[in-house]
Amino acid sequence: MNILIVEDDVFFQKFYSQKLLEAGFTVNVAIDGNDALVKARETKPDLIILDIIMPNKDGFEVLEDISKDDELKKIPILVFSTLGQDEDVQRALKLGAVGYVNKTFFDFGNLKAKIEAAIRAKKNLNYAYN
Amino acid sequence: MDKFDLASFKGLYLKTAREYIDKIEASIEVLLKQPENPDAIMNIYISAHSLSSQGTLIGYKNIESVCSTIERIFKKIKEGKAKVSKDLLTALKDSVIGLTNCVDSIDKENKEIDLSNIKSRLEQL
Repeated sequence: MNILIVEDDVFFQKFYSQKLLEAGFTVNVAIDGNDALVKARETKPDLIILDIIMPNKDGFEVLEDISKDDELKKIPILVFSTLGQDEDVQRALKLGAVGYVNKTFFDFGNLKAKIEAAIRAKKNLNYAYN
Repeated sequence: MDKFDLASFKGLYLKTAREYIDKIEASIEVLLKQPENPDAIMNIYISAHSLSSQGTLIGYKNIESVCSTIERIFKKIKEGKAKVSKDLLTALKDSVIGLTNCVDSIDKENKEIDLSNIKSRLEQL
């Protein structure tokens, strides 16, 4: 499965990329919201993991842009959150994200389960729409 | 929670943490001249958020605690609910010194230093 991580922090980029690569995922990284849209079109990921607080274009703006794009809106998006971002997560879910992962609480089993569930759920939804 | 294997990420952590602290320091200098500069406010907000998130993941609670306080203050400033003051910038300069010493201590001795005074001062603003 092909995952696009959208994250401006190099430390989190490398940490999560390595963990997902070790588990057999293909991983691409976008460094901000603008790069996210370019990389999503280029790499056609099965799932996007999207940080919210980023420079230039934040995660909310990315969700809005993706929701207007007929191809990109088929890709499930999990939001990368931290503690105390409950309001941000709710806003992201309203904008089309299918779930969230607390990036500061590393639980790979949980992350993997959420990735697989999100891809399954989005596939079913896309199938229903078509 | 899975065990965090710090050994393989310590170098990257130290490098990025120092870059964020440098960004905060540079942005303080901008705010001393232009207290409403949006880029400087955003830089401090994002840098503090990143330092706080890294601290939480790795278990550096003192850095996480100070930086989440800075993040909260600058979120309010970013949203127009608070303003940059001289007292805040003075406290931030001291925070930069404390955070730098703390990262140096992690580098050399693998442990944080106490930053509770800095946190208390920020919370009183």
